[in-house]
Amino acid sequence: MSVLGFDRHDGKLMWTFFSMNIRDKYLGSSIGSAWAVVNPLIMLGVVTFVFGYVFKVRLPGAETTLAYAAWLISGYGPWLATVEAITAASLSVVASAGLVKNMPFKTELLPVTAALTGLVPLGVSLGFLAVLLFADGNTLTWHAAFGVVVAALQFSFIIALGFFMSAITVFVRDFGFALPNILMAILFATPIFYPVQSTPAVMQTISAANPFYIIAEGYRRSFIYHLAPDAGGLLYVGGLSLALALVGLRLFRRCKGNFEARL
Amino acid sequence: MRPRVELSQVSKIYSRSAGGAVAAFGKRLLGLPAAPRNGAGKVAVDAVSLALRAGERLGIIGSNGAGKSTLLRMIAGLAAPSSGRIDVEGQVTAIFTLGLGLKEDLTGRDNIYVDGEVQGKTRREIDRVIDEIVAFADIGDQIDHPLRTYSTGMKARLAFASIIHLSPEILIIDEALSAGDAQFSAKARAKMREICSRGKIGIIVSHAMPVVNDLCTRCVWMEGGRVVLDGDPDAVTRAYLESSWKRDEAALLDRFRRHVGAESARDGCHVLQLEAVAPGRPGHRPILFSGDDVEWNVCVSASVALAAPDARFRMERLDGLVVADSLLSVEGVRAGAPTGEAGFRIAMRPLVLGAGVYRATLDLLDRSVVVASRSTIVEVAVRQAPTGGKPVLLYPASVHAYPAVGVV
Repeated sequence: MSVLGFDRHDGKLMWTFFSMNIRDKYLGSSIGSAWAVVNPLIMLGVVTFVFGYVFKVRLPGAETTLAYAAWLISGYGPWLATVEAITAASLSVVASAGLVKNMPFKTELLPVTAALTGLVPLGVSLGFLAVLLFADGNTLTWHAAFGVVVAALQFSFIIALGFFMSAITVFVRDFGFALPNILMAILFATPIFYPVQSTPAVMQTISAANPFYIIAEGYRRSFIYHLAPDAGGLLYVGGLSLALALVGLRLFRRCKGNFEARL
Repeated sequence: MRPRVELSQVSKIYSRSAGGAVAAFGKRLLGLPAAPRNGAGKVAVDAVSLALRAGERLGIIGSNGAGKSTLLRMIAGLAAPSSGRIDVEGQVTAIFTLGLGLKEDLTGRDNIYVDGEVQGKTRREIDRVIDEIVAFADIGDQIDHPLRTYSTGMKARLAFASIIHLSPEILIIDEALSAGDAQFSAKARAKMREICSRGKIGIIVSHAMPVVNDLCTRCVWMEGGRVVLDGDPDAVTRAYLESSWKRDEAALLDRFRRHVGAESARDGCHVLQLEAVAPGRPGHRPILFSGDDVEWNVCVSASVALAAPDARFRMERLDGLVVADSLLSVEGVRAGAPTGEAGFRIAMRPLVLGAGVYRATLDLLDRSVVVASRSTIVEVAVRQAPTGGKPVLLYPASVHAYPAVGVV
């Protein structure tokens, strides 16, 4: 059985690459892979400290400042994972130049496995969020299970983008330098730090079509508001991801024969 | 399914500029052929057609930049041809740069698994051959230590062993058979022969002609992206070596061309020919081997009668050291002999000169005055293993032993 040209064996290879990626990234540091967990924890800890105790922001209708920190992290935590995943995916082919030039294998697995490394900061963020919500007296309900669906869609979307970005980065290296700025712009244009209600009407319309907003909102509804995520929005992200993945894979497979000349 | 490789009119053109690469990329997206405009790129492989059947072991030879590796990369599916068709049936296992797929922080054993999985094997399949791989690589306890503690040779052996034991269907090896020491190399060749005898296809690129001769059933000689010769390894490697000799020799004569030439001091007197001939290789050979029986073919002519003719043969090293200078009494070049041409041979059996570039001169004399001369350049190469110095002369040593009675 195969899906989009990937079969069962590719799944196993993907796992091999995934564990290798995690290990490789923190190679040579004394606590090794633990950094994958420690890094986002520090970031989230800082955010909680600043917005929970130092700069006391209160959400309308909420009683504690911790509620804002939790609300922020439910959007910003998954965003950290998105940044890590997109960056890793777009650099995946260039970073594995040695393998790509020397071993015949399905190179389209590279952006997929690289994107999946973002699952680690996602897991850390959601775990941190659960603890924070517990501390705030807003314990998770069964709705949190919807988080799995949201995460699946989030990563489908990132992987679909990853096919394009990893292929483009091989030919236009500049893309790798532009990417952090593009992501920063997207972060500020997406209602992650601020509620969508406080943006102008035109921004609200744009946000309704912004997959990153739909994903952030999906996490917020299932973790904080104990609601099912907006099915229409998720279907939209799913459809968009599938369409992008089909086009992206086609493009990737068409130009992968020219990778070795540019690496 | 029997493995099969078929190439028809396959070309690969690399664009030189970044702009050309972007253009090629754009064309790829639009589904157009990615071949750049004429002259806009480097033609690495030029319309190569080739068909390989199960059990064949193909050796590809040729000078650097002949397109050998590019061809292998296309067969392996790493690079797409700019034009032409490639049909490959069977799974390709390729070794381009030994050990590049290996992870430095993992142990040798872990690396075998990673390598195998990238090559499309399951863990269980690898479990079945891992002991064989470890034994073949022959690196002892090191197998359970991280790869960064390995020597380069050990890495190469490990990489080679792990790939060759994963029952490849089409095995492609680029310059990797020389990995490790002589003993390992021989073992690797034996293994390769065994694999191909099971109906698999092997393709190797090598600069070591004995390896190609020993291992391959067929040989392709490439030059400038094209196939020059395709056939029996013995014949093809011989033709290739002959051609590279000729190129070296032409380069030698060109480099020292001011030492090559003829002069005539008296009208009608000429040295027409001065050629070194090595055994088994007809024609003038500017590159000779010390220890071989060498002959000089000489031809002189005089249209006027000479009173006291003589010939003088001289060899000097290019730094000015004269190594031979002799007057020759030549039959047929005698006082008052009828005018015309006379040919003779000067034998050097064996040639005892040490390695170096020498100028050989033949003078035609009359009453000890040079009336004509011709010079040429020869390079003497040495087959004997170097011993540390640079001997000027290499006399063939012969030892006669006798009982040492009463010496002590």
